[in-house]
Amino acid sequence: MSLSVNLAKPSDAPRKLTLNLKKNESFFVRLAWDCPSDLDLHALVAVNRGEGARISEFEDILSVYNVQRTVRGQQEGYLPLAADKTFSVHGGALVHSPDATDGQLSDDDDEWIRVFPSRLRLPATGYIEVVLVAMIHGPGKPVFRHVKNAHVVVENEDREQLLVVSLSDHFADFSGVQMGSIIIDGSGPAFSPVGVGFVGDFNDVLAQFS
Amino acid sequence: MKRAPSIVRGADGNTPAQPGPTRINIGAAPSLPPAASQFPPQPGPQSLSSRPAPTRLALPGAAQAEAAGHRRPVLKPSVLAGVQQRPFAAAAEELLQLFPDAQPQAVQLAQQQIGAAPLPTAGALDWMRFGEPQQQRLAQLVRQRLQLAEEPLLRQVPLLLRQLHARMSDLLEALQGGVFRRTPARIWSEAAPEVRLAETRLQQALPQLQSHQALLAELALQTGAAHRQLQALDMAAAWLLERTGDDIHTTLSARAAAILASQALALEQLQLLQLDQDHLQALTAMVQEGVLVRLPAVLAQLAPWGPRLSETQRLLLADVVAEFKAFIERKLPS
Repeated sequence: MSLSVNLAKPSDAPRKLTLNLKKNESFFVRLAWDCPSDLDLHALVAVNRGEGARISEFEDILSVYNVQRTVRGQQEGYLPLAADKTFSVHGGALVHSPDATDGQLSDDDDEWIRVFPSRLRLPATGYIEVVLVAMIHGPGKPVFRHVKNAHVVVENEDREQLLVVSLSDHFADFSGVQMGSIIIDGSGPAFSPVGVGFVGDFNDVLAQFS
Repeated sequence: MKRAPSIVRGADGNTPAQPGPTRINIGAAPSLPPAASQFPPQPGPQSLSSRPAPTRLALPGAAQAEAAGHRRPVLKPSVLAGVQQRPFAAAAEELLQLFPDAQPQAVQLAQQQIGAAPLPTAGALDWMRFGEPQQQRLAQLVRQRLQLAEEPLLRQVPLLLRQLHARMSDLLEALQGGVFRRTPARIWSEAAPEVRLAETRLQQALPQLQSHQALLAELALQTGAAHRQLQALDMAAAWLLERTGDDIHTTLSARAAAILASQALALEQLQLLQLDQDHLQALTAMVQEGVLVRLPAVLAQLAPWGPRLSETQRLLLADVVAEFKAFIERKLPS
């Protein structure tokens, strides 16, 4: 057996401290369109305990329909508007841009949602599904066919595109699209694309997840 | 531990909206045979209470996401009742077979364009619009370039410099004993207000020239991005042409040719923008050097002008003025 000795000397520089430089993962959902139609991004913070994703309280609904407002003299909505007109749920885990009612007002994103999975508390059983939906709002039964250049992009924190969907082309005959879900369990968050188009309103969506 | 599948029930609350979880294929997209044989016609729009057929989906961006190291989800998302749409999806290898020299970013852009293309079930009318938004974007950028090129400032600055040149020529002629025999003092007394006004206006133009440079640089960046998008569309069209039916082929071929023409236009615009930027940079540098450095030096020499010039003074002044005049001639294209 060969002999070996410790090659370190007392004068050697001590080992430097190191930290994990990875930040908590986040997701960015961007919606843009180029006409006066009113499109909306919605997100639901649902828990799946083996029987499908379910929401249980208004705090789980990130939607402009859930923002505090007065409709025909009645107070509606649960979420307060911030000074910059954004609104959020679960202590800022999901933040929604100000509501855009006209896609022509900006050359860039008209609406966006930022998701910070690390700010969500995992349930004792099951896992979290952040359901991402884009819909068109308006009288009658509008569909995406009438919206110019409507598209949704889902990106991770490095701005890598996880999903690009053309609502005007791929979902022309629908009034809503479930883009996918961010699934969060003990091992971390991951985006899972879905791409399902439907005709209905946002309460129909809530009915399926509550 | 394997989790139970997520099932969203129909509006009646009893029947499952779909028999099982929707299967998501997020790996490298499979090679797709022609759409007609691979994709059955999609059903029309359904209400939320209707029962969708379970389908496999390879959405654009999924392959890239995995390639980018994104964690492959094991758990399946709960899916709303509705109709699943399956866009075309290209594997990077398939595009590299068609374009062996393509850079990874170009391949990724082409994959996105393929994913955003009309659905395999779309008709020729939908394909008529393939690449149209990108072409419109380029047309918008071309208009912006023309607008910037027509900026009055770009004509005013050379005019002011020529004005300075003309006054200095008059002065130099007088200093050298020109044919009209007007005294240099007389010439300068007439020219001085005009020269000082031109100096002021050129100084004021400098920040505008610099902001114009920034606008041109931004436009060049955007035109570069538009060119890359059109290149990606061209790659996408080549891939799609091999996978669309005869009914689409003619329309898509025409669109591919139009996209190629736009690509050439984008390249030409980039070259013109480079020329615009070079010209503007030279003009800005000329104003900086001529008006901030050289002209004040000339004016400083002319300031202590007495009622009569000695021969030495006259020669010295002639040198200074001739040098400034030559500077404008060298820098300002005729």
